[in-house]
Amino acid sequence: MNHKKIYPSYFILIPMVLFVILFILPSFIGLCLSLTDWNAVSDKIHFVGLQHFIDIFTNKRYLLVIKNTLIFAVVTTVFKNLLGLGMALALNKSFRTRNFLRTIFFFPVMLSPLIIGLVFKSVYNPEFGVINEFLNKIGLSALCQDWLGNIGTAMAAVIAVEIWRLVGRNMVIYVAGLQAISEDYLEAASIDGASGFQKLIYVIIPDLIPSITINLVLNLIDGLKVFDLVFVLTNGGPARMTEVLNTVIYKEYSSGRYGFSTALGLIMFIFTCIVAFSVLRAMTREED
Amino acid sequence: MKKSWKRITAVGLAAAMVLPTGVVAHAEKEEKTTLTFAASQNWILDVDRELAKAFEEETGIAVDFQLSPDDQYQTIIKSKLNTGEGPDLFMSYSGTKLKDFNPQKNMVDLSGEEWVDKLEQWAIDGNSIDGVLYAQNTAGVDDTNGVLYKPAVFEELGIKVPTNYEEFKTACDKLAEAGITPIYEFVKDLWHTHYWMEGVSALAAQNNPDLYKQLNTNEIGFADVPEFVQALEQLKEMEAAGYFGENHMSNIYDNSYDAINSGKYGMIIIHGSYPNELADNLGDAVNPDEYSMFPDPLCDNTLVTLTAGGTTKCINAGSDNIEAAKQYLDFLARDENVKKLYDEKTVYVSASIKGAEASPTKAFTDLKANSQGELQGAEASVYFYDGGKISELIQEMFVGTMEPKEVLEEYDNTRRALAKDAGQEGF
Repeated sequence: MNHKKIYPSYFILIPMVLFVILFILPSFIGLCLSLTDWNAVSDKIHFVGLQHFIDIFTNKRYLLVIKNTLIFAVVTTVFKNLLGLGMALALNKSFRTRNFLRTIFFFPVMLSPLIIGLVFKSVYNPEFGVINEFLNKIGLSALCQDWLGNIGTAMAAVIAVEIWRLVGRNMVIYVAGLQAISEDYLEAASIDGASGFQKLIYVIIPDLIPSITINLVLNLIDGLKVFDLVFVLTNGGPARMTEVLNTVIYKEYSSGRYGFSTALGLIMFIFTCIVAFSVLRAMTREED
Repeated sequence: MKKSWKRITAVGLAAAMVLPTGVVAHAEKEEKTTLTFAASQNWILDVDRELAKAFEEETGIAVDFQLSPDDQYQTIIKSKLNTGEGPDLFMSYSGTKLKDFNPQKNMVDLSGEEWVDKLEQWAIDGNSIDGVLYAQNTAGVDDTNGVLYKPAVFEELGIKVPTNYEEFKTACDKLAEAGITPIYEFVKDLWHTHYWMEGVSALAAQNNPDLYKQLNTNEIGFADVPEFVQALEQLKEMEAAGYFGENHMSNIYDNSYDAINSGKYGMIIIHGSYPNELADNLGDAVNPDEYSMFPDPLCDNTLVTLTAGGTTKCINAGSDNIEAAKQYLDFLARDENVKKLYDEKTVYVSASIKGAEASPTKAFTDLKANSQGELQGAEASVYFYDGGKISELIQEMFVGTMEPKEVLEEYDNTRRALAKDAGQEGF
């Protein structure tokens, strides 16, 4: 019996093989294909070098898509965290309906983004939607909008749905973090005369850094990878104002330009890795 | 003893794991064939389902219709075919649009099928690429476009049927003055808005008989065609003048029936069979004969732009059920089934089967009468024409991020890239 639980090094062989076959190899094939003109209409594949990447980074239409994706990821991350933390602080106190409210706020996380998209498509409908109906009822008809068709409101409307969808997940992670904070610290702060705000800034938030790190990374990755919600609500419109990387990848792939869409996919993969690892590194340093 | 019990238990559990899969595999063999059939949501009506049911009763082969939203169908079906997960049968537009699906790779050659002799020659030509028939169009033409209006409303407001762009603007202004939104335009459904430009392609082809040849060999692009540029300039002017109302960016096709029939909107550029479709959707209260049509008036056009013959059915070359799918097409081409289709699906303005009677609407008849001729349109004649892409770029023109000429230049870039990837000669 090996009581020290030190396993022989060849045990790593099977996981390594699986990892190479399922992850490294497809990524490498993707990289190779992004350098070709592989498409649906011709059976021949030609090497085109970095042409796809040059096309993407020299075309302002694709740069707009990258900008949209970043805006979506950053704004949703900020609001999901702020609201999630606020809700967690409110629901960390003991009161009768606390668990019920936690469940209610977490409920959208369990729903499919496609279903949520379809529901909100109706909610935002300019003629029959609940929002415009409500504004009409309270005498604010002037504020009625074509929420998803107006270039000024479309992105905000999609972002609002994404925040609503995932704020509950952030809340749950923050609640877990809050419950791990020792009451002693808060009591000591109170004895020292700290106000509620001071306790939040100097005691709670520093102890919540691990939770903040998890939420930041998860939200940024979710934001950069967004597809289904945008696809259902606006399909990238109006006038590409809500077009994000994944909807463009989907459209290019469907039009049969596999090589080009693979190049876009690769850009998104590198992008997500850079952002996620940078945040992780910065926040981990903060934790230390 | 203890060990042998363990072994017996292990073998028993393993058998319990394996046996059900064997039973399931056996049961699957016994299961009936189900053909998957993909189409855009508005292409399949009750009569199509009834015919599929009758086919199932006769042969035991079921047909499972997989419908997608109109503005996403092309994208979805291409994705499915490209990933090898295509349905057994799928629908497409006729003409050069078939080329988008790589017919040599993705479609079954139907040239030798018995029903081919029943087809009108144009229905064979419009569904063939390089002399090979890849699709069955037993239906007919349902998509010749014109501007639909109610003559009674025009008469009441003293509006003359427009024969050029200036008269069209006058008509729009008079409708607007009467509190009617002049045009129902649904920009969100990407299949539609390009019709305003496509509608003048007959005029462009008349002015330049080599137009399609030049576009297909990359001698010129869409941005080099003055009629297309002017059509987009006028379209932009119409949008800026508010002729499309406030919600045109999120309007959708499905809401057009109420919008037009209620009189809230005055006109729509749409297919000639639309009045029958209105009646099918809104019931007997709608009289299709109350509607009329005139040709797309942009660029002072007076010609009707023809398509290659509407929607058509293809068999996926990668299907496991090719023979069953061919059986289904045979069934649909039978005389009694063609008659049922034409009797109950009154959206066809001309028939693709010899001797079949279509249901040309009064509006479609008026469209032809109000025109000075007809010619094949760009969508049916130009390789890799992508109306959805043009409509998407028109959205950008409407919000002011692109100029009309830039729309066509950007579209040319996209089309050229695709044609080049496809190895199309001249690109």
